Amino acid sequence: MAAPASAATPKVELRNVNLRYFGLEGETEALKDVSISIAPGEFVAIIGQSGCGKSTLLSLISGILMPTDGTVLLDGKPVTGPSRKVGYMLQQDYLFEWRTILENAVLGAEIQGADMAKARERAAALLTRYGLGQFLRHLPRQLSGGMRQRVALARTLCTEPDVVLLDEPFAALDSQTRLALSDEIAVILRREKKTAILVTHDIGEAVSMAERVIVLSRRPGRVKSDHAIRFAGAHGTRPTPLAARNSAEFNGYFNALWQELEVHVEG
Amino acid sequence: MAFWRTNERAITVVSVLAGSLVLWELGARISHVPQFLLPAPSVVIADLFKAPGLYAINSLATLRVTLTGFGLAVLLGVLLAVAIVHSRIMEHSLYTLLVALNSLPKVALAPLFVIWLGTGSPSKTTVAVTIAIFPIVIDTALGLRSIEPDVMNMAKVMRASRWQILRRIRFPHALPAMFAGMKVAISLALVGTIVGEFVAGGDLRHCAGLRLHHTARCARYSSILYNRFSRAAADALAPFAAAARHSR
Repeated sequence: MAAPASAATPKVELRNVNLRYFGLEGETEALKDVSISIAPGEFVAIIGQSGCGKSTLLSLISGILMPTDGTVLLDGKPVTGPSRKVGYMLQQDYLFEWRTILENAVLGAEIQGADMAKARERAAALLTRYGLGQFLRHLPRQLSGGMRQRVALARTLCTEPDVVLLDEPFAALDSQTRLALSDEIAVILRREKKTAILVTHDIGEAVSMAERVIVLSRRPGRVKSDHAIRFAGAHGTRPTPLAARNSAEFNGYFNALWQELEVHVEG
Repeated sequence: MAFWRTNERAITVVSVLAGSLVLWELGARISHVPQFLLPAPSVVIADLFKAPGLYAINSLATLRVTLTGFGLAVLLGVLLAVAIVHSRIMEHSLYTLLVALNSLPKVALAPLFVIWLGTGSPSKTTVAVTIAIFPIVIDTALGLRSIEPDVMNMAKVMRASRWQILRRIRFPHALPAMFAGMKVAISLALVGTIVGEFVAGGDLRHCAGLRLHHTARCARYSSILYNRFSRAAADALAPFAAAARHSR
């Protein structure tokens, strides 16, 4: 297991986490002995087949689910419930049709009882930066899927979380919007120095966006492997996801991860 | 042409209503149905103008009870729905009970309410409430519950309290279903009121139901038809009023 290079406290840490739940078919083991450590500012992707517990992992980190055994730590402290430091972005944007774009973006701030004047200012600035400046008073239904997902990003970042959880946020978009938006979002999250955890089943998305890809096995999900993704960028800076897709290393990583997932189909 | 396009709906509604009145008038005149079986609309209207004050007072009394009953049904119904959605015990007890009670013909309970509450407006209002409340509770509970699990997760991650979830998420989500329930409830409230008046009658002189009953005994069908019309008009107006508020 690749420990973060620095001795600093990991931003997010899972220690020997097990998760079992009881359903109609009896006990299901969703995650088994999962240990992951994520450094501040790191962009990690978690891939695996559907039903391997990827999304469950995010629920644990966000504090809406508690592990059966083991601990989940945020800044070195055990997670006991949802935290102000964590923001969540889902596959669907879930914008509320009865609120304007701006009012949707400040939902989190409103619920947390933040200073609304400041929150509106911040949300307006974020939305303007994402190219939605002239749509602040529009309703969600007037926007395209990609634009709506950018509003969802603004809603997530408006509460200023340190950790952003991304649960297949591009899966519902068409492939071109998907490429463009994943590029945009990765750049935004890096610039804002957020710790990001992306769950996806799209290998290309994982390799191009994240600097580390963790592969989960089939249920019960365990950490199967952990890959550092490095591109020979200029001056040690990371290329944008679109540029990464064109780099020499991309295919190598893609194929390595592809094979790992392929093994699961057979076994 | 532009006039047609902008007023298409109004024109259609008016011409359908006027057309059916004309057909009825013609039918009543051409056929040899005796007037006491089916009077022509013109006869009904003439009868109405013989004693406009009487009909107006009776209709207003009925309208007042109907609206009170409807208002109470909305208030109680929404409160019950919120309780049902928020508590498992309430869901298992209250909801089950409500669904079971809903299968009773509540009209048959009207005489009981008169015995319990007297012949004044409380008994009539109660009949109206008991009939009108079911669609409101059931539709509102359905609406409040129709939140996708991921939206609930999102709200939890934002650390929303149950009250915030109710006010900012469940309630706005439930509005369309609530209005659907209210559309059904307003006409049921009127049915309840009329039934209450049928049964309670006596004491209160001013009510459309009593007039219906009385005129039916006297075989004055033209009066009954007026009463039916005022009821149909109230029914027809309710959804528009609801829709107007909804689309605001």
